[in-house]
Amino acid sequence: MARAILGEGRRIASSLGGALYAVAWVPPGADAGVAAQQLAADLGGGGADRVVLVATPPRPPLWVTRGALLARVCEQVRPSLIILPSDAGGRDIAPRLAARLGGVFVAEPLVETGPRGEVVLTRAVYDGELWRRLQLDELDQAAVITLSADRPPAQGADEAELVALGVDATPAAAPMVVDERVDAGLAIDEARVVIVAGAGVSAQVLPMVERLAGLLGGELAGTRAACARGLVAPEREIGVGARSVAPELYVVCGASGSTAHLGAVSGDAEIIAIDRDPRAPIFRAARWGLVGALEDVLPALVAALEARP
Amino acid sequence: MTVAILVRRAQARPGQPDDDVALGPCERGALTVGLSLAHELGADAVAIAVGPARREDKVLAMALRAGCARAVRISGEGIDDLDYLGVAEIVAAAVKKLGADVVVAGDRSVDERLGALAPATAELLGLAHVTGVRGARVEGAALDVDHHAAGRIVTLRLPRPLVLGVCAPPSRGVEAPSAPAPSPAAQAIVAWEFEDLGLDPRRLAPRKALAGRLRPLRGARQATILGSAAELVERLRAEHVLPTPAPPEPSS
Repeated sequence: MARAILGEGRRIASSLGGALYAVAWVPPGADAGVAAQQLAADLGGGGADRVVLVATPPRPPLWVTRGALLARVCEQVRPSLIILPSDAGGRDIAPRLAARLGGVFVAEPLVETGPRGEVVLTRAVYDGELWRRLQLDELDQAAVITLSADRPPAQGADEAELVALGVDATPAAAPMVVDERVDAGLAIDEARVVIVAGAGVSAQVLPMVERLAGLLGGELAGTRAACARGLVAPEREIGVGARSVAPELYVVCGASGSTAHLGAVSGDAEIIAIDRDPRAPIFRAARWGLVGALEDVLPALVAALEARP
Repeated sequence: MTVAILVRRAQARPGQPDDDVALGPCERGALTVGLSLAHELGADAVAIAVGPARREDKVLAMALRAGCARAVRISGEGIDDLDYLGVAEIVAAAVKKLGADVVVAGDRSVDERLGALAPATAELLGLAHVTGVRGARVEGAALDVDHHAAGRIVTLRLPRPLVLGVCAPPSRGVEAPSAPAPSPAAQAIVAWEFEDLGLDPRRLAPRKALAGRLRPLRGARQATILGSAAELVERLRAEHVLPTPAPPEPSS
């Protein structure tokens, strides 16, 4: 994750002609000197110009444990752009850091460089029918963005310079962790292939969807409609506010493709849509589609997959 | 004691309410968690929405029908043009006026999916916040908050006051009613404007250009519709999208 974010940071910093700082958490108990040299070499190799070392605060990585430290780093470094990973911690910290700085916040934008070297942030909104666009050099405020890890790393030339800022401090409101358990839907998070059952899937058709998942080596998931009807376990629900996924292949059976559903699927996933309604929005998001009743299409698809090439 | 619950009408386009959705999944989660906390605390739940009556009164009426004691709609000129921090300033002023010590918002709206309102409101109020929340319970002067992260559910104990960004409720959980609002509920909605909150619109004006310019997506994409399942499989194999099948077992 960090390496991919660093790579994008390197490309943006080079476009802007600025320096790239990496904030690194030094693990507790680590030999500070050895850890510093390792991080300087590793992060420098990933594209960082300078590395700020901060002693790792208590878990979990949220604003309540790390926000004050990051804000103090930003007060001293005064960056024009701050990039955090688009994981649970990054999504918790980034907008609050932006608010602390009075800055702009953009979640998971597409980052592009224009012909004059200008850096443009865009993101699809309102069911993908509109885009929001911000140009970094037109902003008077700092911008804070979150980025997913599906970006190529960059190659730095040298060891990064270590910067001592002296910002280590114990956060005042560190929360007590009273329980921690594995989320039963974890396998979907890391699945390369996800097959999702939508509102159009009946109890009679579901075994065929499960068979399809087995043939593709994928994980079965459901939209809110399918999970609410008990066809798919609630922890396997894909949707905004439920579970977000980033598979390579995403097969959608009998789902219309609402924003509440597709907003939780990575834009890089190749989507195959199977639905009886050729006008369903899912066919605008998909790369390939099959139109027809699931009762007819799914057995044919299973048979075609079982047939050897 | 008051629990403030932020609700927001999903929009198909800016200013155009989405009649199919009304409350997004995270706002439903916020309503479920907020009402549950208000019940445990013996507090009043107050629903807050920012935007014009024609759009937001439907969700405020839903919140009243679900169990909120009061509903507040805040409107003003140019309010929809504000970025996350401009909206958070309005919400924070309303929370201060209500004296709420628990604030519950949807983690991400279904249309913009920014996920910034709860953290930004907490910043302006100087309160702790947690996002990615799946549930919360009262534990003395604190709340036990279920936070979802990296395949784990971590329960954190944090003192009140607190701001929570709540994800969708479990699919079989308590649902907010989705029926159209009756007129008696709509009458119970209190309307506030900037001056009621002591806000100067001129101070919010600089936040109007910072959400990013909206542009239509040109050349809407369309899937390649294939004539048969066999053709689809052939195409997927040709593009190496499918896992390579294992060789057949040797017959003995």
